[in-house]
Amino acid sequence: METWMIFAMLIAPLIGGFVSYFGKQVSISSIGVFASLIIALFFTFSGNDIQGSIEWLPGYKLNYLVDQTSLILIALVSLISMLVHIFSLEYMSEEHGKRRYFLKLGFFTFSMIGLLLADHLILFFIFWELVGLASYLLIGFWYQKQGIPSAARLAFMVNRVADAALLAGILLLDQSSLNISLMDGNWLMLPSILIAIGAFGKSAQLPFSGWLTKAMVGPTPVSALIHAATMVAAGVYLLFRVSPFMHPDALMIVALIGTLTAFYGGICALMQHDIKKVLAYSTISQLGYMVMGVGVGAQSASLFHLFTHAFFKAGLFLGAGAIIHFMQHATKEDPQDIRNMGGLRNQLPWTYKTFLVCSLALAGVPLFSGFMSKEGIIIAGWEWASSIGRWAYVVPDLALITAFLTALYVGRMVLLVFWGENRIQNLYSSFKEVAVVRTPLIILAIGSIWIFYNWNPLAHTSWIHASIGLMPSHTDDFISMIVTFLSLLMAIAGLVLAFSFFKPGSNYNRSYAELQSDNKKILFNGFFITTFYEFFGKGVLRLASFTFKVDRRVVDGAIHLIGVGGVVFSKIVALIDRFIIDGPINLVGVISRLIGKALAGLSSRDIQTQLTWLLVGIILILSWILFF
Amino acid sequence: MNEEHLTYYLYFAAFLFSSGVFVVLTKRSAIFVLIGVELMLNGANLVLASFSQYDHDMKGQIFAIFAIVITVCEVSIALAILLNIYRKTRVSNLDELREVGN
Repeated sequence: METWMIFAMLIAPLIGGFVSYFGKQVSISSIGVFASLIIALFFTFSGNDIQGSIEWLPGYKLNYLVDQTSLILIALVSLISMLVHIFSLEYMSEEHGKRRYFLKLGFFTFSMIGLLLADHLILFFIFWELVGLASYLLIGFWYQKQGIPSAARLAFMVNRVADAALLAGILLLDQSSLNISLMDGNWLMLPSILIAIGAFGKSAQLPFSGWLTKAMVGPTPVSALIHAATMVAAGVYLLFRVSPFMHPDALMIVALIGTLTAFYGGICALMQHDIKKVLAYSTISQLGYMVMGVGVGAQSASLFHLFTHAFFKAGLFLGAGAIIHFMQHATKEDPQDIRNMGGLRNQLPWTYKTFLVCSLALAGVPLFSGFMSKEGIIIAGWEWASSIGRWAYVVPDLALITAFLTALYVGRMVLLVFWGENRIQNLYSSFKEVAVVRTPLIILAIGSIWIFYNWNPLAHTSWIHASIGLMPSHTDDFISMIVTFLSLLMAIAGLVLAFSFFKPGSNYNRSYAELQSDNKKILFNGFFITTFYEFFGKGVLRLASFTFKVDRRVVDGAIHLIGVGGVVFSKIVALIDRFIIDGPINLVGVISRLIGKALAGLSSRDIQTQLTWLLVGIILILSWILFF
Repeated sequence: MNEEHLTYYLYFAAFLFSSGVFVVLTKRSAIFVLIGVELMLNGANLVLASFSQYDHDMKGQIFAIFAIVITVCEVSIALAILLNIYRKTRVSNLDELREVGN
């Protein structure tokens, strides 16, 4: 019974997708996801771990495991996915390919749930690849538009590079026990690093972060799904699961990469003019926090941040989707460019309210969920640093600076998008905040409020820690106090600075519409990380053309040489044949021809010659008779 | 008549025969060929007559006289034929004569 329910939970989104693809109503697809959500909630409250296995090959079993962690995340994924489905009903209503879109969404959700269910690393890897494929399909949804297929391809290929490392890492492990829940002991350095690289690829950590900004060309609700719950969460989930077995040095590298990525995302988000790119860099930054949390040993804090981040980031992306939809109907200009927006709180009141709540959660303001989870990670980082040494304080310090940057770019975004006056005159749009747009936004905004996690808005633990059984152990209350104070200070300082700099009427705000996005700016382009990919790709191409040339010149040359040698040899044989073997035969022929000609001359002349030869013959006969 | 004399006769007969053969083989004209044939016949007659004298037997000489008579007849007939052909075709060459005959 339970096995069947788990199977139903896995397959329901896919069935919903297929029904909406072949049926008449696309809204059916959200029912499939809703079924998954109900089953996941049922299991969560029943509270038992369920373990099973699929026999893939005779004697080779792939285990799956349903414990509290995966159940919470499945519930999260199916909830976000359901809200995205509902939002997409309005957002994609004018698209021709919306059936295809909903099928892809269902497939995406199916893959992610499968990934969360998997316990065996090979099974995990299969769903991992399916998630990558689904995201590729969704990013390239508008495949007829210029530049979109190449962006989707870039996202796919960057993930493939990291996945190759993950597969190599899995194959380097002890093959007799690939079930994560049955593992013990420590891995060696190399497989730990390789698996971490695989997670970096999916979770858009440096140096793989470029694909996430390129993935912004997909439909905006898809971005919400990718950024909040599915695609990028997979990497963090993998790290969460395997970090107890990883080599300590590899974990240190994970912590440093996460911190660097958090800082990188924060500083790049400040300079973007595209609202989706601001959110994309913000996601990179927040994922950096989660990865750093795993690296410093605070897995539960990372999972908590993953959970809270899913709500407010999905809310922000869906809000951005509503704004973009509004702008598309209002103007011919680029609908994603913040320079064309401004003052939208009058036109989009509900979007503004929910966007504001989610932004405050992202910025880490108390009374919202982001503050609690981020605080937990920074505290863990501080404790980790204090146990390691002085240089390690770079991790919590950069995390605090990133918190400041987060508040700054969040404030900038909200002020420039919603406050002040419209930068485009006579803004009128047929887009209305109908119920299917409003409801998901409101639900996600409510999910970003502190009370759903802990009654104390300054706490950094929640029921999630309790239910997965990983409460952070604090050695020092002083550290948590000082971090709470510092992160509060950073958030408020960031917001205040943002307000003073970007408030309506400020110099920046007034000249903003004419601000040029200079392509040479290093921050605007995210440190040219995609250019680096192109460079890398060109290098691979050069290598390929070089080996092609080697193939052409050396290998083909050798084969040509052998061929020419064969021809020369056969020519020599032909000469031998002609002169040495044919020669005597021709000689015999020539001689017999000469004889024939000579003899033919005897009979062909006039009668006197014939007589002469007759006489000669008689003489010969006579001399034969006479002398022998 | 001893053997030494016989030898001279035979040499002369051989010379006659050879001359006849030479004439037959070298001359184109039918008249010359006929002359050559006559020379050869006379050579042969000379051999007949000389051996007959050497053996004291007259059969050879009788045969020679017969041969001479027959040869006269034959030559006269042959000359007549040749003359007729020449009158008709103005040809006396043997090789051309072959084509005329056709």
